Amino acid sequence: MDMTGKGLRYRSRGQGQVEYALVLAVVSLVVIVAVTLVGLGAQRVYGVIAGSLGAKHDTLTQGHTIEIVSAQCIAVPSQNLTGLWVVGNTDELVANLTGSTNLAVGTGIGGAPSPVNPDPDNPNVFKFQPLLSQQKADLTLCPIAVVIQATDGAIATAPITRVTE
Amino acid sequence: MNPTYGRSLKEEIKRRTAHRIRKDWDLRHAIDPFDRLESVHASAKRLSTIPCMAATARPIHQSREQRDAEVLTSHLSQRSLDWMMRPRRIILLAATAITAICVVISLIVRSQPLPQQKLVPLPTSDTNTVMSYLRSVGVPMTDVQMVAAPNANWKARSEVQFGIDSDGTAGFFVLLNYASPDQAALDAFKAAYRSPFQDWHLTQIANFLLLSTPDTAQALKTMIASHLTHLLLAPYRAFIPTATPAGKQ
Repeated sequence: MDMTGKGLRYRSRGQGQVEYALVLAVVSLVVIVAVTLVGLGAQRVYGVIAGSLGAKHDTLTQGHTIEIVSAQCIAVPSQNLTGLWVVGNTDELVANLTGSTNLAVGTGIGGAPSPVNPDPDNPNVFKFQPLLSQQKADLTLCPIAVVIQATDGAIATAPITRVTE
Repeated sequence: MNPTYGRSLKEEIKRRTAHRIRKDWDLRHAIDPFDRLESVHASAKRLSTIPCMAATARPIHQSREQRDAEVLTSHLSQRSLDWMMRPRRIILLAATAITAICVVISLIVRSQPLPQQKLVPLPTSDTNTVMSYLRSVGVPMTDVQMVAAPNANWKARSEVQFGIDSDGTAGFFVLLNYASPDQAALDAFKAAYRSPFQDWHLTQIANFLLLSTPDTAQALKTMIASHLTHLLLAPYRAFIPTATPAGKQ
């Protein structure tokens, strides 16, 4: 009887430790998996925040370079147009790049897809030029910051300058 | 009161409990006598300061009763120590897990590309420099015309129009020069959505816009863009290769 009581007591205490260890291990695993899965998303969010605060950042590692040369939101009243005009240089495969702003991820007017395109004559030049309006020239439609992001984690961010004709 | 043993039920339960705990203590004491004895004395001292425990203490001359009390207090103190140790174990495990997470994340981060150099701003150039360079590398330009700028079409600070006729391929180009890459953006944006230039091919390289007519041969567009890249970008951007090194042609 005594042995049974003692056994139960020790088993209960040991079980607590194992539970704590298991909980911590599972939490660790979940955190690692979550960070890996949402890493690019989190990186994009931080990039947009940094750009919104006026920071400009380019990734400059060989094979992973992304440089934003110009990032502007342009409104042209004579053509009733508003759009982004982002140009840069890269040694990444341009097809692996995604353009995002604080308003949209890889899309332009009406949510239409707006991929980052290469310059046909210059594979190291990329363009991200989504239209924001074809009905009016309105700088209030402009986002604050742009992020160009590669699938391998390279990123460039810049604040967007607003320009009108 | 049990007449057989001369004790109340409560006293009997207490005696048996003490006996069981003493057996347990004896077992542990045999394994680690010094540590356990020290623990017992220390625990007994601490517990004796608690009024309720001190009140139940037996007189010193009752050796067996005293020992039972010591065992009991030792057991109680051991349990309290166990509870005190539990948070330490949690903290230890948490610290280990956090360290593991940090190590894994740092390994992941280190595997990502990190900035290794600082980009210098692209220097601005002018149309005379570009045209001289194109001539020096043997581009067969024809009908070179300097056009006054800015004008109705462009806000550029200078404009040059020229044609190329080479080996049966022909093309017409407009080269626009701006004070900075940013200033080229407005004209580029307008041209991209305005007739007739919306059908033209447009390339921005540094502070230049290069437009070419739709019927211009692709080989010529690629050649001029490559020359401009070599002149305006490649010297300042090591990651940009060009197929047309200076003086080759």
